[in-house]
Amino acid sequence: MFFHSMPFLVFFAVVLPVHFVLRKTRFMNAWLLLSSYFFYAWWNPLFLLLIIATTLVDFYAVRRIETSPQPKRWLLLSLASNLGALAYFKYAAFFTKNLDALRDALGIPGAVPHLDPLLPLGISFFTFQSISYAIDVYRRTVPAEQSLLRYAVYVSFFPQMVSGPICRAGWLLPQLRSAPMIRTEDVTVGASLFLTGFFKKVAIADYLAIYVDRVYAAPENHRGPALAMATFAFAWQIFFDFSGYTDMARGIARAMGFSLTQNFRAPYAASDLGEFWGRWNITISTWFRDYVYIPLGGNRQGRVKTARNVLLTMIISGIWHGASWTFLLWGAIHGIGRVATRELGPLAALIRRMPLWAQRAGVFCFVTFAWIFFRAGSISDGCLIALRIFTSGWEDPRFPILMLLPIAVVWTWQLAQEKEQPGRRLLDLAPARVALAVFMIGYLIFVAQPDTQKFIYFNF
Amino acid sequence: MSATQGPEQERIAINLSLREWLVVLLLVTALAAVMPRIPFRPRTPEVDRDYRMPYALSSRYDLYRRFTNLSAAQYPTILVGDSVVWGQTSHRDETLAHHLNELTKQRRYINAGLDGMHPIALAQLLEHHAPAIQKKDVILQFNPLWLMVTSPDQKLPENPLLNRPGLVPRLAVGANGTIQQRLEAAVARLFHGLPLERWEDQLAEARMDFLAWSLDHPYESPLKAISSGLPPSEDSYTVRMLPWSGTEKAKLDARWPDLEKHGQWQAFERVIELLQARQNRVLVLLGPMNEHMMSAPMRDGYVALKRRIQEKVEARNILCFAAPTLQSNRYTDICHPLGAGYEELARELLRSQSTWLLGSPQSR
Repeated sequence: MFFHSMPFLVFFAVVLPVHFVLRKTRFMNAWLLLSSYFFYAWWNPLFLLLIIATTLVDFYAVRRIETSPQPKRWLLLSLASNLGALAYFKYAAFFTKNLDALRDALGIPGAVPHLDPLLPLGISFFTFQSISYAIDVYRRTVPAEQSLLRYAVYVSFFPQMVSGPICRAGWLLPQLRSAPMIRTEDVTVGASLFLTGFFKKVAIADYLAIYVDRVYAAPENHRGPALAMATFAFAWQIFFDFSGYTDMARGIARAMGFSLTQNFRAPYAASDLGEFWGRWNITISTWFRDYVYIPLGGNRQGRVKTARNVLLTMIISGIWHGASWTFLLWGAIHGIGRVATRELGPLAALIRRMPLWAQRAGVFCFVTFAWIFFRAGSISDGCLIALRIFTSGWEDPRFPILMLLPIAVVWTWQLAQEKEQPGRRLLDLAPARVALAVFMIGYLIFVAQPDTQKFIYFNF
Repeated sequence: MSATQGPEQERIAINLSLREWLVVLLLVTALAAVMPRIPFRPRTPEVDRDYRMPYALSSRYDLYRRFTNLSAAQYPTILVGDSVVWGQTSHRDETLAHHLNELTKQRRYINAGLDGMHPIALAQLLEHHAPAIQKKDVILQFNPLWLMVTSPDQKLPENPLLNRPGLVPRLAVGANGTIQQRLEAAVARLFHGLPLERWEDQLAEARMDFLAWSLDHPYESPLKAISSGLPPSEDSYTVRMLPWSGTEKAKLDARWPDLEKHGQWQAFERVIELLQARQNRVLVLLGPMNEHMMSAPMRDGYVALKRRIQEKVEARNILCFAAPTLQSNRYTDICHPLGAGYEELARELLRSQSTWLLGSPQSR
């Protein structure tokens, strides 16, 4: 059930008023859990069993972390439960396929049986949320949750269970312990966020996807300019797609009186790669920082080990996105970029002397280049695209001018927000806000493609 | 990396108050009431001879209905089928319909193929979204490749229409639908007969289809698209268009399933029955298939399968033309010919079935 679909709107039209009535009673979490499980079961009821199983294991294991004299054992059990599910459902196919290819290359007779289980929707997100909870309890930064019902809601809260934002236990669980206040402002802000996200996804991301999909489907049929424009368009498609989803998720939660964590802050206005990751998919970036980078040693063990830790963290982050060599390479490119440009890196002094706009342009170009491998169907396609962008000569890219319009408007807007620049206060004027909202809704009704694509991050 | 596990601090781009939301709703309601009454489009626009549905709008079934309405009024013969008829690997002026028009020097054949229309989907498409083609001459393509889309145990995917929201109108979902479909149908029934339903149709009619069009007219004003009756056709390519020149190793080796028990064949028979019930004059086009790409046992199986299909179709008093095997470089994959392949196919079809193709449509 996509947020931008009629079934969801009907579902939410039922869930919200009942939640409003029940929110001050002891039935609130039961209702939220029922709604969340229904939301998930709409996709595939069978996988509810997986969520219920990991929830039960985590809940009891983590409670023992707090009380047991050997908390580490219980932490490992929780990690094994989550990472085991993730490893099987997400990586088994990749692992067995590559193992078989290796066997073939080495000339070993026989065959490795190929496993290809169906990937449960949102598994990367709800397992990471559970892992963060277990580790936080182990580190004693949050207490173990005593209510199974509340913990189950924390794991499966429907606005964010499928594609985040990943909320830490210290942030979301306290909100589930008391009756949420739902003011008029929460509903109007929630609706505003939802409309913004809806528009980003359906009007812009899905439109850009038409060009991107066509070029990336057959890269050898296109030359540098078309491939470069498709990559540029993809950089914005994925931003509008994922941040649109996040806006909708936060809007839905806000209308119900809950606050979810911010996940995007104008990432293409970043002036260095570290800042980019502080603005892009913030909850997953901070997750990797807190649960991978810092445990690896962070920046405390000298420059070489710091570089190793950065590189490893980015590679793991890449492979988290998908079981494919392209994602691994994408993570590695970011890792190398970050090592080379971070404060004490070899390029840092040079970059610091550049004007701000050039730093931003450099980051955008680097990030966009890396997206090639994120989007390409295979490493060879990715290399082909990267190579052809620089070597295949001129050809009219036939990139619709109309596609540049929303990108230019949003980019200008985001840059204007960074500083006190003309136009920054435009939307403080009520008529401007109303006109823009009418335009967005009118566009969604009369122009946007009705057959929308699924969110890109649903694949992960 | 900066931590942001905390309260919202960002500026929300559009943050409307309750009063502003009410104004927005009022204005949007007014807009929705006015838009369908604005005569953007001519009432009976001419459908271009090489028109085909824009690829990016393949699942716009409301548009397909509009297109077949207009086509049925302007062309005697409609070609229906999947991407092979649509011409996934050719320009719009290289498809089978184009070459038939060229060779007969008539404006007679229109390409109403749609990408991915396997027989189960085609049955729904023709039943619900193409009522206007009744009593027309129809060249109905059957692509045997759809018989291969099964799981290893020879079963069809559980719901072959899963990726086609909107193909089966919600009100048409029967008791055999999934829980999800049945729930959607129940909701739709609630709205059935209300003014809202008619309003939805009016809105669909007022939609402007210039987004996909802008891909093939990247530097033109979108206003040009708004004023036309159908979104302009286009030449988008979503697949690689290289002649097939595979080696022995690249050949397919699969077993053809039992025809009579296969859901796709049963659906194809339902399509024939539907067309017969609608008094269409039907010619079945079987294939084409790139037999060079098949291993010897698979090719033998295909020859037997072709014979079986021809017998079954002809038993219904319908002509069946099995596409001949073209040169291997006239295909780009297992079933899609390139432009030159379509031309050869059209010649063969015309040579073999000229009476049907050039004869006057039955007097109705």
